[in-house]
Amino acid sequence: MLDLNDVCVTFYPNTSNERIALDHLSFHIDDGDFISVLGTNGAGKSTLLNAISGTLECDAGEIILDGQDITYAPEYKRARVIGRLFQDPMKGTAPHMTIEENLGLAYSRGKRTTLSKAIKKGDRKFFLEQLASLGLGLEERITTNVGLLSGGQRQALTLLMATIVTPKLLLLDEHTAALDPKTAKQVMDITERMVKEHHITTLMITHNMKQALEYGNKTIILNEGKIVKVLEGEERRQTSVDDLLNMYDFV
Amino acid sequence: MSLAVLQDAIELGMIFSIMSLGVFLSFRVLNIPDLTIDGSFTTGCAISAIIAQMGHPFLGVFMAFVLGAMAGGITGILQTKCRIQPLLAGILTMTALYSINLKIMGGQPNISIFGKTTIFTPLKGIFGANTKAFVILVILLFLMILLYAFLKTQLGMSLRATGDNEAMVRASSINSDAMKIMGITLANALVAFAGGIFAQYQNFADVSGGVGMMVVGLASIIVGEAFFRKKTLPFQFAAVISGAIVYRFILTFALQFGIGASDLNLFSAILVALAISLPYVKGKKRRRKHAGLK
Repeated sequence: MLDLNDVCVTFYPNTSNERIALDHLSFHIDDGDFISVLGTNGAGKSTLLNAISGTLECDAGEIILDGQDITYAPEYKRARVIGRLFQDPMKGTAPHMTIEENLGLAYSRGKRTTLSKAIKKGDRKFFLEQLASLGLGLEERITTNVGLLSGGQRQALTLLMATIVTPKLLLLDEHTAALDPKTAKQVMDITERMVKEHHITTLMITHNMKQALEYGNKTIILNEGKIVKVLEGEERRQTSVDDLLNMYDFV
Repeated sequence: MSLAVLQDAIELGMIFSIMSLGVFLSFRVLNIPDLTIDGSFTTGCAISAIIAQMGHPFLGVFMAFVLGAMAGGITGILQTKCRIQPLLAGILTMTALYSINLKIMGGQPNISIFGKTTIFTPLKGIFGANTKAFVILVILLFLMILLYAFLKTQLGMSLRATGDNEAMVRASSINSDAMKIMGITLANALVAFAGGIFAQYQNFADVSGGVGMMVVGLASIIVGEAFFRKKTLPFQFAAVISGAIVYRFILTFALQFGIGASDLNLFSAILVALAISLPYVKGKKRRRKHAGLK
């Protein structure tokens, strides 16, 4: 599904501030995997997601998504098949546009942008159904500007936007970290439901150990730009939060 | 103030409404301060006057639109593909346009087309003294409807979203660079088109005619937003149009009260500076009053 071969990213190369963010990282992700990504600050988790989504260009190596080499494809082209959520709920939506317009934009993902009407009649009905499935009452506020929604509502909406056209890959960068515990749980549950429902391959960065073990089928730990531990199957089931914490003391 | 002066103000206001729609597109929709406008307005004036002088007034305003679009396209490419800061990219194109505008005008700083056929001439037999007002009104309405419809299409929506949250637009698989180029192209096409009409309206084109146009457009938008505060497209359009006309009235009054025509740019600049800074300065006063910390 997704293959990273020898991917390298270095910030400020050949200066005294040189910093290797991804160090010859190779990894294979199977179709339908839901992988939680752990690691200390600066371990390269976000850089990994940035390299996959194309926000950042790799210095070396290749990224193969579903048989296609996307290593040097521009970000907007990769976005046709990659959905993405950030920690900051403000990042994923256009605040001065309505819920409906935001969804309409997301719904046109991967299609050609044309001079046809932005929101067609059939679309609205579909959007209403989808919004209702979030269970947040957003379907009542379809013409409200997104800037007026709370962080949790915006994050749930962003999640819906990222999956409304089923992506091949979903990248979640601490997408519940800025939310209160209750809302975080709510957004996490919606995440799990969508990922399962549409069978989306997912990478999720988190600092919440419990969350890392509770959701998904694999867990990887990054340190200094390398994957230092892959947990799956029986071993992962036997792992406790305390065990995970011990794994943070790598060397 | 005579009725003729009022009519002039309305007519000019409508021409500058078209220009303000262009400024609105870059400044408000795309959120980019685009200084190309000062140059492309003159380009519109120059090409329109020169071609009208040759006897083709309609081709003149059409070419104003085309050249304006080209100027905007260059600024857009400088901003996106060459990664030049938006403000500087606009200044570069504007500076280059000064030379180009002079070339268009055959090296003369101004050209007169008095007595030549203009876009207003054919209908003079029917509407008499109201010809100019009628023609400009029809053009303005036509452009308004077209632009409004455009902003409601998928493409238009992507354009609006690019100004609102660029990262999100790219994440929705839309080429944000292409959107910016398109938006600035369209904005300058409108501005130059307004310039083209303006030149034939006053039978005159001047190489420095576009100086301060971006500020004038901005002033119009700010004035209009004082009347229409709601931030939905129909209200924003109403704000731009009414703002441009009211602003023209303000200028007309200012002229009547003895402010010289050459002082108008100073007046516009002060107005914009005040309008943008006032909310903050007011807040500062309050903050100082209630400041608990010494």
